[in-house]
Amino acid sequence: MALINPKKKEVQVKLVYYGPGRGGKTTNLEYIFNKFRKRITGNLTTIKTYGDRTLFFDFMPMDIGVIKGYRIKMQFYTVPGQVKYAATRRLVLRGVDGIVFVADSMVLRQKMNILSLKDLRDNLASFDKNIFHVPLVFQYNKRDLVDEGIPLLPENVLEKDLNRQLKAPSFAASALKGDNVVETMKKAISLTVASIEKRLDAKG
Amino acid sequence: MTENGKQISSELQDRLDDFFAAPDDGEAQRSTAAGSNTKKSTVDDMRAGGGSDRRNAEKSAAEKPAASADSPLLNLHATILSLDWEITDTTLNRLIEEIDRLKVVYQNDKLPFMFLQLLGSIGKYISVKKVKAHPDSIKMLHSVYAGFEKVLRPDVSNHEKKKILSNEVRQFKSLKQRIRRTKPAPDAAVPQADTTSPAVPSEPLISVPSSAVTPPSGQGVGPVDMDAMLTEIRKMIRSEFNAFKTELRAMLGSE
Repeated sequence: MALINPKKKEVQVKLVYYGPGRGGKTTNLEYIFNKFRKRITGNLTTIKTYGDRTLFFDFMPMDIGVIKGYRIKMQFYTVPGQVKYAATRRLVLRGVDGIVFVADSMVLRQKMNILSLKDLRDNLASFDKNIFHVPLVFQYNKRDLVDEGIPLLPENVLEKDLNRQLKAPSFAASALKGDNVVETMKKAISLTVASIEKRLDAKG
Repeated sequence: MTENGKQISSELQDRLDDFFAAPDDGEAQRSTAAGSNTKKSTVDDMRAGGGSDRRNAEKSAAEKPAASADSPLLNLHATILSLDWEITDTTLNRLIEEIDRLKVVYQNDKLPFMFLQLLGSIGKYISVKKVKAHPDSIKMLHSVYAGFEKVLRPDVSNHEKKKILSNEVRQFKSLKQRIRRTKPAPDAAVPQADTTSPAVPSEPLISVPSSAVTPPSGQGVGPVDMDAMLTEIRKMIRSEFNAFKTELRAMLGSE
């Protein structure tokens, strides 16, 4: 749940980039950070290990300004995709307000996308959260690999595999080139802030 | 927080449009020129000098493949990419099968054949050790694959091709040494040059001087790697354990 500080008139929103290892979660944040670094007041902090893999998580704060008197501070996290870091993934998900699921479009990674989505569902359930009720955006990443002859899953297959029931917004993207990276993030922020607002309204 | 949901949504949309509006050219150029000021603690960078070169080789193999849609290397490339993060029997079998298939294709072409032998040896080692394989073995696989792609290019001279192969053989031997140093048991699985195929000459096609294979003095990487790996494993276990403790506390607190 978002942290709201009525005294400071500040809302902290936590958005997590989730997905299988090597899917491009960190690349998404790196693209945004490098492109808009002058507007992002904080730093992108990332801790890596052997072979350039994210060990713990990446973190990037972003202040998107004041809306209706409240300063909205976004906090973006990525999770380590490798199976062995299950506890770290669960920990990063604690208090999450919205999720971007970065799926790998490569044919060879079809199964891992599905497993990772199940992992997300289970981890959210451990916090009594239903994946159907958490703001979620899908990103089908690495579409640029088609130019290099790598077999990719068609978007309709990815939709069928991952989004048939969830019916969340989705974007075909290339985090490396920046295609639809911003759009994914904008959509995720909009959905998440709208969801927080709705919950607050419901609480009266 | 809200009085009018629609107003907030529209205000948020405007705010996001402003925030993510394309940066002016000067800003973009400055960003590129400055490089990333990302706070990175790249452990392998700190440990191994020159590690970035190898990672670049890995990156070029992973992200800039020369394998086009009709290339005979397409399946091999895709399999090597998938091994990068998921090591399963199926993927490893696919790798070995693909290498064997390509060995038939390149049986009369010595240089590519040698590369396939190297790939086969590393592939077999990984298939035996799986996730316990030396972390550098996957990098080595990428590096050899990148070299393999290069030697198939018509614009690369024979001299250059031999140099690439020689370099990969040296790296391969160095990896073997590192694996031996980290292994207590003498019968441990260490990648051996695959010489089972009748098409392979018994002597190496390119002789690599032993001095070229020996790491320069003071750069013995075995024990350093081992210590660093142990430290990292300890850190990881501690972190995971702390994570569990935190979760447990939170759960108990919320009950």
